[in-house]
Amino acid sequence: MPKSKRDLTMEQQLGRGPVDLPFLMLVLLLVGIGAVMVFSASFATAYYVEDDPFYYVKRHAVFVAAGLVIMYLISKFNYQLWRGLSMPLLGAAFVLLVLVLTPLGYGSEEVGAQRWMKVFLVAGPGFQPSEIAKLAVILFFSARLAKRDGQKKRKWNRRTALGRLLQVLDDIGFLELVPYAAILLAMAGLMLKEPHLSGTVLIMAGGAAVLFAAGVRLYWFIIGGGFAAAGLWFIITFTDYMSARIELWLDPWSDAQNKGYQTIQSIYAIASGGLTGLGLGQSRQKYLYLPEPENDFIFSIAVEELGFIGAILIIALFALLIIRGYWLAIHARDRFGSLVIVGINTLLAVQVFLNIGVVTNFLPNTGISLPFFSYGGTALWIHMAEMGIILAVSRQIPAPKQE
Amino acid sequence: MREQDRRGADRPEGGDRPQRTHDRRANKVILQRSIFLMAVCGVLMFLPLIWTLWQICIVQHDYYQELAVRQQTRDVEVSAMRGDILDRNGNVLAMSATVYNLILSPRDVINSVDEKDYQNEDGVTDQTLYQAAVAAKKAAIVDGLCAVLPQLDRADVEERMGRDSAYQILARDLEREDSTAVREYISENKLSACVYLTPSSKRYYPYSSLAAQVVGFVNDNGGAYGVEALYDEELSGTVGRVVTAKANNGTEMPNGWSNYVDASDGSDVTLTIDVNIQQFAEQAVQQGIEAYNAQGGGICIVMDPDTGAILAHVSVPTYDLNQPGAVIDKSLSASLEALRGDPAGTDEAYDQAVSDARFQQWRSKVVNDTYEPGSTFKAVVLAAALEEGVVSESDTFYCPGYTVVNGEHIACSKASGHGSQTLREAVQNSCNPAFIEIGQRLGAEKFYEYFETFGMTEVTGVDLIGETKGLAWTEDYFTSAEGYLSLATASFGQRFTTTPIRMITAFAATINGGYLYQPYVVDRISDSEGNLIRQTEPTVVRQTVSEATSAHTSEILESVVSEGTGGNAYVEGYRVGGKTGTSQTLVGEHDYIVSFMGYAPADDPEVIVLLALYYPEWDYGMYSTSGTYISGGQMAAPLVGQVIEETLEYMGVEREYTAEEANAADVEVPQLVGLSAADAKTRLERAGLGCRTVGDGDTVTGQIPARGTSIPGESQVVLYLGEEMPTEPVTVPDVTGKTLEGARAALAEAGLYMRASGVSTYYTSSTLAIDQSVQGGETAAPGTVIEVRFANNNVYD
Repeated sequence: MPKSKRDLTMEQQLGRGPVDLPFLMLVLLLVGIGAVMVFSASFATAYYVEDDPFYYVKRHAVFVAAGLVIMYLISKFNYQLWRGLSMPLLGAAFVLLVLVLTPLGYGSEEVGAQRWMKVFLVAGPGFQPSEIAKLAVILFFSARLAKRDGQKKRKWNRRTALGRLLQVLDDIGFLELVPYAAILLAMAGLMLKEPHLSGTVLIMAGGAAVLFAAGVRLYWFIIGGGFAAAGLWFIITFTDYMSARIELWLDPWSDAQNKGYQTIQSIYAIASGGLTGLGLGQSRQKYLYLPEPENDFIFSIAVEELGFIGAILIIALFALLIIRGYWLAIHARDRFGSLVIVGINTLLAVQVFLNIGVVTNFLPNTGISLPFFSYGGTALWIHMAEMGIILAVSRQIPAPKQE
Repeated sequence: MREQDRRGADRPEGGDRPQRTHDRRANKVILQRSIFLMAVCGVLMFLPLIWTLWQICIVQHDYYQELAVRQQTRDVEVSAMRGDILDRNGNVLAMSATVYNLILSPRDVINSVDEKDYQNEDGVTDQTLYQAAVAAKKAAIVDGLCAVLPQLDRADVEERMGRDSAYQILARDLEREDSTAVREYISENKLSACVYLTPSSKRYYPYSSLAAQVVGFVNDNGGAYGVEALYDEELSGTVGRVVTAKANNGTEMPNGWSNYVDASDGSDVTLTIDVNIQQFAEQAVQQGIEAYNAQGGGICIVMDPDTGAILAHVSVPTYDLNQPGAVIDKSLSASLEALRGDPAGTDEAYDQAVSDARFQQWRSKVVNDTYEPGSTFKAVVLAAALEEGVVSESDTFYCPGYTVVNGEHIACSKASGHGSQTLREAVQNSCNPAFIEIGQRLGAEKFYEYFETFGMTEVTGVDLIGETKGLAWTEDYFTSAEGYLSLATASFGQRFTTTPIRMITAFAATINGGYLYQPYVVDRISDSEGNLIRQTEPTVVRQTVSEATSAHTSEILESVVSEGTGGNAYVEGYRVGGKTGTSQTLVGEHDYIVSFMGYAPADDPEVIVLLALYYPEWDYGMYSTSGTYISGGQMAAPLVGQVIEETLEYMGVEREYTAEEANAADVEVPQLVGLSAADAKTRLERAGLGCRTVGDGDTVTGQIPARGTSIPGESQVVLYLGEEMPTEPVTVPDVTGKTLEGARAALAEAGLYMRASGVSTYYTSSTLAIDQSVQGGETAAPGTVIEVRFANNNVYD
């Protein structure tokens, strides 16, 4: 028998508040449409490769069900506790990012990147430690930055040169950034070793979003952006690998049978969709033309089947979800909640942007999945868990006063 | 600690005043920056994506979709079965059957060996083992295929297996038995990825070389020669297409769409050619070429004079339609052999010679080449002269053996001259001076008018490939100052050339009532279900002379066979008319073309036959190495007679005997033994037979020949009256070179009977036996009927 309301602490009372319904509905809609698209897109591959047209959709249904349970449980979990849990989570993320490079991880043989680990180290479904790392970074940054303005300004010994230097650095906000930058650079270093460029970009984006929202001075972003641009320019200009990739991006037909193949097939699929699409289930490109139609390139199949109109609808749902997310961030009960939502939300937005950018060849090809759509259990679970955290924050938003 | 953090630092509400302002400022920053991120991530970021999608989905939709559809669909041609070519009775002269090509993909053989099986844990391939496995697999396939198809060239298969290719044709045109064996081998060894069969079609010609120049053959582009080429469109039908959606592994998409455009099989073409008549004609030409060693080959056309339908078309040298590239003509291949053996000859020269020889075999002398028609053309001149009324039966012509035209001495074939002769005799004698006079009576203008009327200046329009017009003489040629000589030579068919097909249609017009027909070889075209699409109706080009003139001409021409130079074409019971021809050619001094144009029955012609032999081997004077006088009457006429007899008999035309012939016709010997001698004689008289008695009894005890034997009428039956009847075989005397009476007497002496054939009942002292059914010196039972062939041996034309 539940305790009566007055016996609960205020937080407990708030925690029993309703989740944000529009946000929940948008998540469920996207997961639902995603599941339908997984079935449609995986049908042919499953039929030809696995001899069972329902191979993927059966597994996906299980993942979705488990994901919903995870989302529900985490939405019930008092998110304030993540402040304390963020530190061990970050530590665990580092350990996993190191472990994945050892023989415990895998992926280098299959796709040439050591990105995966088994859930139980030696068994179970595979997952990417980078997914954990993203969440850990966002939670840890949010927890620390939430109390940023409460900290007393530290006084440096102005008598020594070092002290004066540190004082200057502190004044311009540099010292404050050092631990965040160290964490991000360490993670980026580990992930580029896998290598996992898209994951690195996402972690950077998530971390930067939290820092940005927390009020770090804008010029650091300009400087950081400048360095990133310079680095990118350097890599593109001076490494054959990247310049070849850029060339391929500009003209996939230069290697149509090989490296440009996937991009070209994706464009064919999208173009075949036209305005209204070929109809649900009617994709032709999924018949072994487009590799991984149920995974990274599921959006292409969705456009082929549902057309430009369907694509706009899906994008609109994502946009609404993201906008609603920021709305929740603005209305969150505390800064920690706001920053967590901003981080997760930005991460989601960037990932959607990168995925659609890649399948339309707006961006160079890099392996990145579409949240809620792409087949893949653990990634979906992490996304659902993240949505659960946002929902948990939304529970503690006080309802507007009734007049 | 945590509690405090939260309260002091984070929670927007609570805390002291400076902290609250601080908080408010911090919250304001979060609010502003969140709204900024909301705008960027929730709206702005999607704009370029939507723009890109618009570009691909809408703007470039058609372009990319076409590329996509191209890769997603398989457009397979469904070959239409080529129609058959049939003879007039429905015998198949050309047909198509599905055959298979054997394709090997060496690249897929390599792919079929899994490299992973030869990798250690580090993923490094043991190249030695891997390559050995590939080599073993290749060797196994080569062995297997060579075992299944022994006709494969092992070295060639191995060489192709070594190529870096996905498409190597190992064998073409495999028929059912072979293709089934290969298919079994493929499925047993699961090689469908590397070895497969593709369907194709092959043309078969069941009658090989029969009417080769008419039927023609096909190459990769369709019909190449003959009817195959001329009626290629009708025969080939329409290729169909099947467009199917396919998955990237090449299989059809489940629930995929497909689009069919039906193939429609080609139509069947039925010729006017009759296989049997064609065989009679081919046999006759072959016989003639062999007998007289005709070095230029020969031709024979059998036509229905009342329609222009060509029943047989022979042109030698010929070829086997199933191997159009092979040189099968004896004299051509002999000269090729000689060239190959020649150490001075180059390969190029040899190749050129082979290619020339092929063309020689493929072309039809009947329509592609011209010849000098010689005296056969006199029929046309005769008809023209009769039509114009410039000659009559009562006219006489004097032949001193030559005539002089424009100062040029033109000899007659009979150097001693024919003397004074009637029109009919002039035609029978094929007298040149007489015809020069007839031509002169017509005059150049009239002559040329008829030259044109009988189609000598145009193509006949026969539906055969490449009919040549030749160098047709123009009117100037006759009417100019020098035209007098042209007129003179043209009057007996010399100096101008025409095609045999033109000659036979013109000749037919002189005897069929005057109608110049357009000859044709395709009788009808019907679709693959047998529905008639087109039926050729006989086409009269024009009326040349009146029916009466034609009948008169025909009657005179009939006498050429019954009494004149065409006697050797005589066929018992059929009224054969015709005209001989011997022409000098420009090929060589002694290269003559001997020909004969015959038709029968003369009163209502069913067939007209032109047979010509090119260049019988010359020995001396006008004699060939075979000892036969080189002339159409000697060489071509008997062969035409043979063709006419076989053809009319095959067509079921009743023989009508003249009284003379009826008497000589075979009679069955009645039963005489046991009768009295007087009764037996009466019976024999009634049967039209004579008799001779041996012994002096009253009752017939034996008879030769036995009852039921057929012997020529008026022969003598031997009756034995008590005397022993001889049963010992008798020796047959050699009667060749004897006259009719001489031969009959010699055979009767030996107790044998004679049945004469070869020439009409109009025997002269120069009609001599040339062959007998039982050779002299051999034995035969008493009373045996010996068939003896006679020929007129002093025929000049």
